[in-house]
Amino acid sequence: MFRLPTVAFRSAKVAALRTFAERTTTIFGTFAERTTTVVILLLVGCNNVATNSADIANKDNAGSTSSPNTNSQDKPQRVAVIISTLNNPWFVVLGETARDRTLELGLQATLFDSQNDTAKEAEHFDNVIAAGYSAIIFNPTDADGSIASVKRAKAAGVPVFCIDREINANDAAMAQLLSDNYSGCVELGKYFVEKVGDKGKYIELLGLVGDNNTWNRSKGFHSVVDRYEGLKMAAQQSADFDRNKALEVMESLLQSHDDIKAVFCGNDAMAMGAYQALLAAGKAEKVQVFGYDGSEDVIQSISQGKITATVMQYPKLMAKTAAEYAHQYLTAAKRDFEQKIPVNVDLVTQANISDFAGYGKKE
Amino acid sequence: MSRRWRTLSGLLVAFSILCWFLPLFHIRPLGGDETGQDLQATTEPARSQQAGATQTNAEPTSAEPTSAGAPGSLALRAKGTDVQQLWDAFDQDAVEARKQYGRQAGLGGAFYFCITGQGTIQSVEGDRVMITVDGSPRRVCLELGVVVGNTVREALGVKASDFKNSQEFNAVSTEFNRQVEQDIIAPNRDRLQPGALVQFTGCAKLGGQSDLNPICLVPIQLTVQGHDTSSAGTSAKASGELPP
Repeated sequence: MFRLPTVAFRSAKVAALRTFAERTTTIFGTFAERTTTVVILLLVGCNNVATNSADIANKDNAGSTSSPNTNSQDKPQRVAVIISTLNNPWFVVLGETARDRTLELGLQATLFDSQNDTAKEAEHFDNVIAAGYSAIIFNPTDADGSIASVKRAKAAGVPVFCIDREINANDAAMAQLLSDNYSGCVELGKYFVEKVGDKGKYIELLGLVGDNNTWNRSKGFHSVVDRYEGLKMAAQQSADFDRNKALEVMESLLQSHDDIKAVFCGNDAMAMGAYQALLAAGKAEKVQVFGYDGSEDVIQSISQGKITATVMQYPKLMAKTAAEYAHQYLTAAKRDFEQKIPVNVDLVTQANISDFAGYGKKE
Repeated sequence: MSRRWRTLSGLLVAFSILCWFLPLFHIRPLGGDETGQDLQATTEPARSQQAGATQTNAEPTSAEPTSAGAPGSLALRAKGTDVQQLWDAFDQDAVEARKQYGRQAGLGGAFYFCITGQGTIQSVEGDRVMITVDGSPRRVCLELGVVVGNTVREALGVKASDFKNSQEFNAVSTEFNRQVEQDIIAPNRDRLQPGALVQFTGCAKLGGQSDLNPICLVPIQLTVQGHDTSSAGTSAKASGELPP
């Protein structure tokens, strides 16, 4: 008789265990399949659930009928919120808003952190599918690398709603809500020329090279700035949307490029890192820094004159809308969602800073 | 000795023949794109214009656009609203006018309009051509400067869902903007002089009342007829429109 080992597996072994179990399922039939599901359900409860949502995760009670939203089989209506990283405050706002709005709508919600790791993200999908979640609100780590996970969910009948970042497929997710990064950086590019002038050198810090947002922002910016021959890009390097990495990259670049007039960063975290490096090098007064996101610290820095401009994305709007879409899917049988939905963004400068707070407009 | 030279000569001749049929390299002119994927080329401004920069990252390759999103075919969608009709609609109910004649770009986005009409050029101020429209105190402005952004794409109603990813979707804007600059503005710029009659179709983003006078358009179709009404029909005619 086949029997699965009863020792507690660490999260990294879940995928391997599942693969192993899938293979054995073909041999041992439904018994092995059920046993595998039970083991995975146990593992889901103790692995990789973001600590700040552990209380919510613990509320999830498989088989409970107390939830106000249940389907015809009396299964609990649970929504998984899988976020690329919770190491960046902007994504924390995105994930927590999606989770909180889902809870407000009477569904269960659990927040997962992929730690910018596609393998960990795939593991979350496996766990979420096996645990019987009803829908997934998803912020992908990689436009291509995340497609397989979304397709697995779709095959299992679990709709996926992408937020902020897209996947390079139109036939996998139920809908994708995406900031209009290109337009935002066109506006930022115009303001860049206005403030920096049409001559001089600048540096560009890119985000994750596998993420489409990185290139949409870069291309929007260059569609304007490259029209001015006097503006020369002295260096273009990736800092992975990470503040510490941006600090390191900027420190290194300043060794060989001490005559720059500005830095364009693909997000606000990198803008803060770049500013820190410029401050340490005594160049913060001379070099203008441009970011993207509308995070709280950059909004404050713009009002203090440290950062020149950013573009406000609306993570709360995207997250709330995705939660509402998931709710409509689960409770109202809505299926006719537009596949790609651009979300408006706004340029934030000292001229209009009074209209904005961190992550959105002042209420 | 002679046998050795004969062998070497034979090998050289054989190698030459081989190279004739299977050359080691081809010389192709810069910019010669045999695949016709000019859309792809226009998506890479950073690489093409910043050759001297330190680039340490390889950009992912953008795939071909879907047939639904082929930019050339989108000109056929350029059905503009008559400018006077639009002004009247805004005067009655701005919210309803936006809803009826505009296209909203995504969630919470601005409204874009495709507008048509005709009038007489009143003045040319740098890259802006001011046009008076018969029977209206309001004016239209044609923007002849650098064309950037998504105004044309949004006004023509191109949908993001028709494309596999947003990079392809944004490449449509780049291609439209290039066509407007090269095929519409450049051939007509010299003819756009005060007094000339102009039939125009253009794209605009309209927010508040201040955007209505003048309505500033990115031209996507232009027909210029000489100078004022008295000479119309007798002067040379130049036109431009986005190719189908």
